Amino acid sequence: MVKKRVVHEPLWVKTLLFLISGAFLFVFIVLPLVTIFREAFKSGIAVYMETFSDPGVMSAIKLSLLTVLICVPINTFFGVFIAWLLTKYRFPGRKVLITIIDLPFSISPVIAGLLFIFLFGSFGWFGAWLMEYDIRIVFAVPGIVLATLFVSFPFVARELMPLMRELGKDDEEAALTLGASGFQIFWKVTLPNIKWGLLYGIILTNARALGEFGAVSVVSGFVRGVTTTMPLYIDILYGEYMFRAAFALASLMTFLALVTIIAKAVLEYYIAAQRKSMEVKIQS
Amino acid sequence: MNIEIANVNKKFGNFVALDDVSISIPKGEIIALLGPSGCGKTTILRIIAGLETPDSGVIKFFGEDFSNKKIKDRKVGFVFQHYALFRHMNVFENIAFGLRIRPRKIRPDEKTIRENVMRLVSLVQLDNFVNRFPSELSGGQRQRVALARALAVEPTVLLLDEPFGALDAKVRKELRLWLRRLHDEIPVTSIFVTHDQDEALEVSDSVVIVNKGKVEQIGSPEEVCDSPANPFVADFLSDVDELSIKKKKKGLFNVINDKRQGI
Amino acid sequence: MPLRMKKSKIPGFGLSLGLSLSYMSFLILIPISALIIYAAKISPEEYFNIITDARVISAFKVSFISAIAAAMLNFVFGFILAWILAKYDFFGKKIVDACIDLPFAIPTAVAGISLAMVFSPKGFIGSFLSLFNVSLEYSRVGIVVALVFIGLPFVVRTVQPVIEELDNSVEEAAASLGANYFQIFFKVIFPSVLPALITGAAMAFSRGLGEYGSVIFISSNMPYESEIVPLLIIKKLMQFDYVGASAIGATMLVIAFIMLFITNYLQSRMIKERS
Repeated sequence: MVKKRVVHEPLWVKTLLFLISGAFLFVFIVLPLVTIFREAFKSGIAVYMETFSDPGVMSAIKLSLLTVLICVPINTFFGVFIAWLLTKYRFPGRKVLITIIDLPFSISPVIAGLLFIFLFGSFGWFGAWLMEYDIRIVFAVPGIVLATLFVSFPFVARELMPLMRELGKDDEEAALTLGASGFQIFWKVTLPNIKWGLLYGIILTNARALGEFGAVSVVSGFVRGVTTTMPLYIDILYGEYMFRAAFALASLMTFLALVTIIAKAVLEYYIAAQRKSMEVKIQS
Repeated sequence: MNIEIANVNKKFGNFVALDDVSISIPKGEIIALLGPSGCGKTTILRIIAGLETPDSGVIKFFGEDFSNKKIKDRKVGFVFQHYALFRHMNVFENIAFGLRIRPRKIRPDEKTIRENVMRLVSLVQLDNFVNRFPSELSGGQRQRVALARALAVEPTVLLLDEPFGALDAKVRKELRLWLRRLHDEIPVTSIFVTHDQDEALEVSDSVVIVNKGKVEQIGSPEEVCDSPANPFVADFLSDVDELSIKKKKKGLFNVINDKRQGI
Repeated sequence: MPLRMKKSKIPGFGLSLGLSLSYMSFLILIPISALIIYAAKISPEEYFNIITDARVISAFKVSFISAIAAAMLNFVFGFILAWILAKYDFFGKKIVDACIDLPFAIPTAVAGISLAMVFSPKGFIGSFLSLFNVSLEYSRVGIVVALVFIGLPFVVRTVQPVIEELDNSVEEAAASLGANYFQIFFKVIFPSVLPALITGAAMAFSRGLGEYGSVIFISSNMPYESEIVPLLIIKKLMQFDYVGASAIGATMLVIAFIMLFITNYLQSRMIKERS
């Protein structure tokens, strides 16, 4: 007689899987993290702090903050509208738009930067016109903002769309029959329903905007203290063999990345809880 | 006549949802739209509410053409199948929603809102639940909150989409009797959609039997049962519990008794 | 009830359509057409000459081979990690789970300098390897290391939910029919996870092909040796070879479109199979 058993891999397989995973995570996650902080603090806290008194570093931090402060609200605003459009209505071309949202993810960051060179560079479409009015876009701050907008564009819409699709249109239609206007529906009914997902999208947008390197390095022109964001400045410091300073700045960005993944995990918990309450609601 | 639907047609792609549907609904009555699922009954309800636009045909409220009227100006109360309660608002706020969002000029003051909501809350017997959130309520309680929310805007017509569809059998029976009584208390014209024959016959003043986008018969529960207009109706009502019609008459009597007992 | 709604009554269609279309045109479509139209002016022979230049070909080879190697490694390691996260509870699981997202959250440049340090002869792995006279730091293997790091979350996050949703009763049924563990795994479990695994690996490959930031610090970036395509484009730009940059750039763009098409297709098939 065959005994009924719960299917489990043999112990040696399980052990092997855990060993492989452990070794892999040690090499690819733990070691890099430890290395960043070890290199940053190798010569003591005083030297570490010195990095942040370098005017170049300070202006890089400022430029990164400025970029984030511009890009995150803009991409959030449009991301919400796009998610709303693509989940609340059906119209011809909807699938095409959904595909276009993903383009910035599938295009190499370097190509993303390249696009703006060909649009606004001296030989590009608007090049001559811009020169005439002495407006600089590429190799200047506007180019950095544009490239960052491009690469961090999809997050909000992509996080919101599955959530909004699951939520359906019932709540909005209910509000509609109760006499609510479009804006009232959005602010009082839709937004409270999607707030965790929205926050999740914003956090991812923020992380990408802050950390973007490839796209920004193409349009930056590396004018020190003017067009260097934090990741670009890490590149400069590293290239000049100023490893201590490079890793000090990198440790700041790593700290922010760790905050991001913690926030992400917390939000995932809230979103899962909300999903569960939705299921209960439909079942009963 | 309170509400009139005349020669309404509606297609979704190639699918004919409604084929030349005409229904007249007298004021104060409770009408059941009865039919198998997919027959187009929910579409009729959504067209009356304005959530769907008919391809052709006319919707009249009190003789006035409402076909192009905006949803918010139609003053319909819609109770959704899955209630669509706002999950971030408690019972009180859910019911108050329709009043709070009115433009300032016609918005009642806070005191009036409170009075109205509390009156509705006791009407649907949820006095002890005003601060609860939808997730903390049972199915039947949610259903009643949805009803109170729809009634708060003082609708000219109350539309209910499968109002008991998501409830278990026992609660369903209790609630449909209760709905019938409630309608006797506040005689607002009501239209509800159901695929359950017993439910339709027990609760409604007249039944509209719909199949494949067409109206098969309109009449009182007795009429449709005793003299079905065609084989479909006869077949569809063949396994009806004859008692449900009689029960209704008794149900009306019960209201008086129950009221005395303070239920 | 078939409610295939053509027009939704929820207000705001015009506004959201207008805003979405303008923004997406401004940010995505117009810039992409700028590059494509510029590249379209290049004559076919010239384009052919640029693309078949030995240095360009070798860059494409380096990029493709590294991305494929990294995707294959992630296929294996990503599956194992996803399996453990989905099937076992263990101490620190939440932390491990969160760590999988680190490559998404950490700036590529930071990852790049850190991996370069770990694998340099002074670093932990590098010093260990140098005992055997192996140096990863400036070899092509370094590129693969960086791409494995970058691609890991794509595989894990695609596969993990699929493993979680696996119906245990299927395994039990197979067991009750007398199958041993490996038969169950390879005949029942693995085939149902495979589509997700392929999707995840395709996404990791696509990302790896265009990756720049994390690679350039760990690779020696030698032309004909370890120079990746994105880097070659940047070098062309610096030499004001806009024609060359646009030709290679447009080629990469087309590859990205194809990869997007493939991953979308794989994903939609996955969703269909799961439902």
